[in-house]
Amino acid sequence: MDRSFFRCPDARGLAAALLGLAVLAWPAAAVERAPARAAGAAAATLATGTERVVVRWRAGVGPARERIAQAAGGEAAAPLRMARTLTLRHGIALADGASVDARTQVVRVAAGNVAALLARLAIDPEVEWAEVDQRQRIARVVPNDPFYGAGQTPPMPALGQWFLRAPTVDAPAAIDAVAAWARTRGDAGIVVAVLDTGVRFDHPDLADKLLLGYDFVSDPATANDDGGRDDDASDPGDWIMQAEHEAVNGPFAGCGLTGRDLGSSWHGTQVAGLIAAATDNAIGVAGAGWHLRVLPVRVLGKCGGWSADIAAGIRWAAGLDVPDVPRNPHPARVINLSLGSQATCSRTYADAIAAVRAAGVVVVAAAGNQGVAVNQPANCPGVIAVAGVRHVGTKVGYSSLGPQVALAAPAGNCVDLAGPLCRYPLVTTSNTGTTVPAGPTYTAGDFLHGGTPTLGTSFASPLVAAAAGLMLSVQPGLTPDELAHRLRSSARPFPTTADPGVPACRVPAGFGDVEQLECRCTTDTCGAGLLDVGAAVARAAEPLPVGGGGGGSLTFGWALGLALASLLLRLLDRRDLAGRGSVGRRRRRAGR
Amino acid sequence: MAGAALAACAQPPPAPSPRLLLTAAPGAPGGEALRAAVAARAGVAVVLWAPVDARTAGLRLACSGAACDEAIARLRADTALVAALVADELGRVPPPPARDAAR
Repeated sequence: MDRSFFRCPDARGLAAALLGLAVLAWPAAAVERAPARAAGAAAATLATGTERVVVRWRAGVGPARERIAQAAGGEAAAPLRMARTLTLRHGIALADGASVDARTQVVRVAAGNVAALLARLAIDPEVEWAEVDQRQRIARVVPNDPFYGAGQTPPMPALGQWFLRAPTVDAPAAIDAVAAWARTRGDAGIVVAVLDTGVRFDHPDLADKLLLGYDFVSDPATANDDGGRDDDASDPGDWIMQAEHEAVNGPFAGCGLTGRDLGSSWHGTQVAGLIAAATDNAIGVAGAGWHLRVLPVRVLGKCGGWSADIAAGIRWAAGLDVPDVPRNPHPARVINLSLGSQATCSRTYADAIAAVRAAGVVVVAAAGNQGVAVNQPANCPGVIAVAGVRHVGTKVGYSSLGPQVALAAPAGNCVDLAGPLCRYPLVTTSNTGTTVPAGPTYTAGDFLHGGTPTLGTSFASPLVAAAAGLMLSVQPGLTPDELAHRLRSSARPFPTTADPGVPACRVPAGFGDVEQLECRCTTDTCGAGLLDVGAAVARAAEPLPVGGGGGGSLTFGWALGLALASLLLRLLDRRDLAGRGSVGRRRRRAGR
Repeated sequence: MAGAALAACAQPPPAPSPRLLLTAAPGAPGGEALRAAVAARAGVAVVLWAPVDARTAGLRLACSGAACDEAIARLRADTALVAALVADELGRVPPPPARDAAR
């Protein structure tokens, strides 16, 4: 028996298999630039009876590299057109659909080929995942909180909680919390810590949403509650009388205003309401995080708070030990810091933030309200720094800015600065007391009657913190880095249709630079884009990467396969040629 | 005498002890023992002690003006006890934006 007769087909089969596998790994971008005949034919056969399949490419494959390079060069990323590549690779006719992002696109496939396509894509090493695109009906997740919708009467802002709704032509910066709520209304087990002035536990729109928390204000005068650190995180008020402001060497010298008293801010109560006001309870306002719960950690009092107390509060919020303080029984997954100072990141902040991030906790902070460089601790490594935008997506005048900013969110703006009404403020829970607490209330859009609309990056930050909480609700295993990545990559691009009379934002030279008023956001100044909570939650729900950097090794593996297959085929070709020569010789011999 | 008392009243009170942030040296005691050692080395009482973690704490000393400067110098000189002693920083809620910046 001629054993070579059996060996050769085996070797050829192996080589063909290797080649086939290698072709699978052929750099997609190269095929992407091939003539369009096949794709055109595929599209022609797909005119009717098609289904949609969403395909996500692994990081680092040809098309993504190309597009990312394009983006880095400042060009708008071209839409993905990978149907032809996949058609050639898998032998199933496909047509291009919309691109979702730099690595994700829809392809159209004949209805009868969906299962086969999904099976093929499941083993395609360059495809991270693929799934049938599902038709979504308009989600009717509209909370019944009376101040949520438009059509409010003064003193409430007419547009209600415009910032939570889907973006519109008039307000493209709205964060689309409604789209997120269609997928998740938040897991009550996800805790967002609010490190701030404390909260009013008696607010009916917060009462059932607040954990007990802790008061870390160690200086009794600053604490304004007759004591130092204790387990009462309620906000007694942080007012500064004019006389306190002017008292030389007094504990609150320079802390207030010249010529009039500075009323209590109820800042922590406002921040808490934006994250987790009781939602769909027919009272007041909706919270962006719906069912999320808030852990109030009081670190600020009259004239602010000291970094030692703030750092201790950061550690405690995450469940880490702080000497002389009982351990937090409800560790937070997200910490919101709507506070800071104009300084570079101190060692105290950096150490505390690194420790809680190592424990899996996401830290979000406000950029600041001076229109210059980003405040501490928003400028600390690992912090998701949030800048403020107007309703149209340009930077709001007061927001600080710079390369440390991760993304931007509505911070409240007024449009008409001379009139009595602020048109696009945020709306949230507060208190009527000007010094000590009085009754619960909501922030208004009316500058008259002593009204103080909710404006400031302090209030953009909790919208991002709530988004992080919703993301963790659908994917609790997200690490701080992976969450930040998905949050940024899901952000909506800054509008390009902004008023051309508005200058482009520029990176500030520091804290002493000239304040930049409204400007057109860039990725160097306002982060990756506009917060889109619906997109962020959808991105968060995508499968977690298995191991790190698998795409690179797979590509290498397939390249190795291609090399081996080529080598084997060459060897076989030589044998074939040699064999044909022998046959010829045999025939010649036979002809003799 | 009355005039001298009136003159003293007209003077602002002395600056209180600055709020400080202390990091203990490796090998230094922790907890209450650290607080006691700091007070002993400073030569004045520690009137406020706000731990951050096992080695770091915010504090105020029972002193004012030049006496505080001297106490702080003594602490900084004891490198077996104190790795770092710096002024603590005040953080605040970002100041409410001026209305003309809120267009």
